[in-house]
Amino acid sequence: MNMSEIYPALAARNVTIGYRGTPVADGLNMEISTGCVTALIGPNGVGKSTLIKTLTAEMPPLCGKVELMGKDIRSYSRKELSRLQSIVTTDPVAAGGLTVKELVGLGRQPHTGFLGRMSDVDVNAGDRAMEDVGIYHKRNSYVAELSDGERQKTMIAKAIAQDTPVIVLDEPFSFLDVAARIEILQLLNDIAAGGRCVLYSSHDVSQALRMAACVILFTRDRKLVSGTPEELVGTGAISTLFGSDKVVFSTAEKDFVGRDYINKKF
Amino acid sequence: MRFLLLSVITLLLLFLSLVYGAVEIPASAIVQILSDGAVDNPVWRIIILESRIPMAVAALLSGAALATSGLILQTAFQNPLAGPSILGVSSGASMGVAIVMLLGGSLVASISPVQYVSAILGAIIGAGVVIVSLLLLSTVLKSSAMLLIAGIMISYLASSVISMLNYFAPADGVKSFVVWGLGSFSGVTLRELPWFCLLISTILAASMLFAKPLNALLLGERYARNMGYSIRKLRNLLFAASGVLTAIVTAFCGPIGFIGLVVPHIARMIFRTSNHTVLLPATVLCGGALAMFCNILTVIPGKGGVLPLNAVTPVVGVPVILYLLTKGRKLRYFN
Repeated sequence: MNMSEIYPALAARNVTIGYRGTPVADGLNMEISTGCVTALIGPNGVGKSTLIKTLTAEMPPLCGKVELMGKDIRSYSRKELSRLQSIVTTDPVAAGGLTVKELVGLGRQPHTGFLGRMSDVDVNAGDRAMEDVGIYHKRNSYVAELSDGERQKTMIAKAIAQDTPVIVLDEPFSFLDVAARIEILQLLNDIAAGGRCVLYSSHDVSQALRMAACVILFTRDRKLVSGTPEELVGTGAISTLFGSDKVVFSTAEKDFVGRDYINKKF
Repeated sequence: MRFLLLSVITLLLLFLSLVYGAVEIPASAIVQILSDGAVDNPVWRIIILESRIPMAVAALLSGAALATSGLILQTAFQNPLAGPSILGVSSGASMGVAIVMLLGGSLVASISPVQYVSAILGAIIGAGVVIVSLLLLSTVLKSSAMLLIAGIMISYLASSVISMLNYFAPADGVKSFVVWGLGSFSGVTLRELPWFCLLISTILAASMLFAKPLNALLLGERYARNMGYSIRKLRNLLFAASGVLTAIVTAFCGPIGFIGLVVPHIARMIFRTSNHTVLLPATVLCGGALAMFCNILTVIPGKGGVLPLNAVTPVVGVPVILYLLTKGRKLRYFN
């Protein structure tokens, strides 16, 4: 029997997120399972990034608990966590002078010894990760010479090389054009289908509805609503996302539009 | 290949440091002194063994230490402008030495072991105070650019404390402090050389173990934490190593600027990499080589005088860095 069927890979149980003294949202519950991509979407400033940081043990929950592989995330050491959960961010990195191969190799750090020497297993894992994201032909290029899309693929390859059951991506599509977004979402679908738990945050609603298997809405009134895109659209839950009567969801367009747009017929 | 070349250059410079000096000594005599110790002129023997060898080794190790310290700080702060002198670590060490030299006036006249030990302790405590304040500030100031500005402010503060001490101190104390402040690798004498070597090379060897965490830090704190590091612990360790390296060199040789800032860039550009597995040893070699080369240039031929080291280092370093900056395919190592 597969263990992952018993508990969700990543879950929030009645969690309050925020900084000490200034909670951002409370009573948050969510479960993310293995095998499909989950998109966390919500308006800017609602606390997506804070939630992601809480889910990746970068900051503690003020209340409640985050569960990783069925156990309280705080019960793991940093070292153990680095083998269970990998992150991809769009933070600027000062790694311009590394080659793609070297950067992807950094993902093996939790598996290598004191000196960081790479075994054959580590080298192979890096090569496979680069092939998976389609960046292998650029392995000897410097990170500084990559396009934004290629750099993001390299960071994802690093996360794959880290070989963790859970991968969390914080706004992975900032700075990317539409083609690169679609390509990377496709890639995330493949990674998830390979038996991993993939969660990404984004404010691109329409893309998430079209391409993610499961969507978690972080609404303007700071509630989490999960479901498949069909469920969220069907129940009308999606229209609570922005909490604004000027921005409404159009089922025809599968996207948010201005209220006036609905009345205007093209 | 590049390592081999650099090693050969370093050895060559080490030998040249023994040949060049205020007193002319033929290279053949030097080889003789080094091999069996017997030589026609006993004065030559004393000059080589008691002056030039300690000075050359001090230059090699100090350059390596300052450069490594600079590299660690640049990666830890993710900032190409970080360095022991800019962050105030050198000024902190100077302040410690100033307090010992200028307030403990009577100690200065006699060169006693007590004086050396207290100057070194003063430097380490001074550098430590700066590093601890930077660490405390780093818990409040999240952005490394802000932290860098704070470091520069601390540097000003330490300089002004030094100026005030200078104003109130007796004249002989001020003179020896000013001379020390010009920077010179002759500060390490034969007697202290073994200790100096032991301390610096131990810390340098230990610093090579930082290659793995420093590479992780290239990706920033979030990624490094995700790769299993405790950022607070790692930062403390890195700052401590870099601070102690700077403090020891500063105590013996005076505040030497520039090398710590510029050598990591030279090493990056020669080896075209940010990978610390390569960059750390490369920085050690480049730092040693540049310091020895500058040290050779401080000797004014035929006159018996010596230029202040701090006057020479930029004259050598700036053309090198400008050449490397402008030639060929450029890489953005930092964001």
